[in-house]
Amino acid sequence: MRKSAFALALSLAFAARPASAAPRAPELTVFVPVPLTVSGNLLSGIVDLPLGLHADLSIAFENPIGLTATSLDVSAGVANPLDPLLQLKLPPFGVSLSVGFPVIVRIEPHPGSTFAFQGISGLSLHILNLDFVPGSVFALYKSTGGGPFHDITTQLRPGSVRAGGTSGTFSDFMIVLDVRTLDTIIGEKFSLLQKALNDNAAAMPASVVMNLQLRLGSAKALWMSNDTETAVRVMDAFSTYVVSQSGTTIPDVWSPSGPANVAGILRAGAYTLRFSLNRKATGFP
Amino acid sequence: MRRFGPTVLLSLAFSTAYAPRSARAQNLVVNPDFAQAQMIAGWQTSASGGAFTPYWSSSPDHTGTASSGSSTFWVLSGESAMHQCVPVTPGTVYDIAAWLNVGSGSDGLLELRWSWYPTADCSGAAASGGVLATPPADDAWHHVVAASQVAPLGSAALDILFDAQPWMQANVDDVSVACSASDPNGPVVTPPAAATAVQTLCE
Repeated sequence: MRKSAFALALSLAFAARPASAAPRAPELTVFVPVPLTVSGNLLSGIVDLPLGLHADLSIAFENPIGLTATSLDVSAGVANPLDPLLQLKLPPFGVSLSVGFPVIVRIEPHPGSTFAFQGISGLSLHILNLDFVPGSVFALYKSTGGGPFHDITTQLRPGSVRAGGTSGTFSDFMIVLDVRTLDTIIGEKFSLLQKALNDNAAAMPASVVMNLQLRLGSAKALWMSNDTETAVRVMDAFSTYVVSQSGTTIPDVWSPSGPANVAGILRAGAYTLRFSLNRKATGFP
Repeated sequence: MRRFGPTVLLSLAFSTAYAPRSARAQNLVVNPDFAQAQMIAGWQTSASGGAFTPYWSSSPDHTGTASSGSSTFWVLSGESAMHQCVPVTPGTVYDIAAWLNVGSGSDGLLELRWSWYPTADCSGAAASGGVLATPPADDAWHHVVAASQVAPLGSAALDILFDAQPWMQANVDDVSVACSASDPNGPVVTPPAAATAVQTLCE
C-alpha cells in the first residue's frame, strides 16, 4: 500500500498543427522516456526518476482512433526550480514548483503517428512523493507549445487529482503549489476560456459562438455577483452545449495534421473553471 | 423455517435445490476487485456524451493494494456505466454490495443498479430491480449494500450496473453478489420427498 501517495489526473486535449509549434527554448530539465502500455482507451506508464520520484501515469481517451502504445511520446524530467525559463512560464506571484514532486511530464505526438482522438483525453498521475492534506493548494499546471503554464485542475483527491486540460502541439505538465485566492484563479480561468473562445471563433458558426459567449458571460456575471453556485450550473450547461455541437458545428477531433480540436479546448477550459467555481461555492478542499 | 427471513416457495429441480453448500457464499461476480490482469475484465463498459469509459486505476484501492486497484469513473459530461450479468437461481436470497469512493467536490450521481432478467445473458426486459443512491462525496470508501434481495420467480440472471453522471469522479471496488449472509446455516431446502415445491434460502 502506498499510503503516502496521492494521485493526480488531468484531462487534456491536444490541438493540431504540430508544425506551427513555437521554437522550444533551451531548458535545464533532462527528460527520460516513459514506456507506455495500451489497454482499451487507456495508456499507462510509470514515471521513475532519480531522487525516488515515482508516479503511475495513465492517459484515458474519450474516443481514440488507432491508439497504440507508441501513439504518444511521453517523457519526464526533474525540473530545476531555479530555471529562469521555467519561472517565466509561471504566474509571477503565488505559484511555485512542488518541492515534493518537482517533475515535468511531457506528452507529444509520436512523429509519423496516425493516431487521432475525438473529444478530450485525460491523464492521471499517482504520485508517491506527495502527501495530501485537506485544503491542499496543489494544482496541476499545463504548458502548451512552450507557452506559459496554466491551471488545468479538475479535482484534487487523496490518492488522486483530476484536472481539465487545454491544447497544444506538445504539452508539459507539473504539480505546483498555488496559494493565490480562489477568486484570482477563477478570474484567470474565465479570461483563458474567453481567449480560447475568441481564438477559435472562426472555426464555428456565429450563432454557436454567440450561444457560448452568452453562457460564459452569464457565468462570469453570476460569479461576480457572488452567485457562484448558479455559475457552476451555467458552466455545466456550457460544457453540455459544446458536447452537443461537437463534430457538427464545433470541430472535435485531434490529429497530428488536422485542424484544432476546438471542442476539446473549450471543454477542458470549462471543466477546470467549473472545478474552481465549485470549490468556491461548496468549500470543498 | 420462519427464522430464515424472507420466504420464497419455488419449484426447483432437485439438483438445483441440492447445490453444494460450499458454493453458497461464493461471489458470483467475475473480477470483483479488478485485480484480474489489473483491468476491469469481465465488465462491460460504456460512455456517452463526452464521458470517459470506466478504466482501471492502481489507486485508490479499497484494501490499499495498488496491484489490485479499482475501477475509475471520471464523468465531467455525459454518462458512464459499467455492468456485469451474473447467473442467479430463482428464489435465492442475495446480498448485492460494493465499495464506492466518491471524490470530494463530486456532485453528480454514482448509482448501483440491479435488475433481474429471465434470460441468462440479461437480454430483453428486466423483470424488476432496484437502485442504491450515491454515497457521500468525501474521498472515503463506503460499503453500499442491498441486502436480502430475492431472485424473482423465473429469473435467470442479475445485471449489476454502476452508472455515473456529472460531475463525478469516483472509484468502485470489491463488488459482490452472493447468497445472503442473513442466515448462518446456508441454503435450506425442503426434502425432495416432501413436495415438489422447495424453498431455497441461503444465509
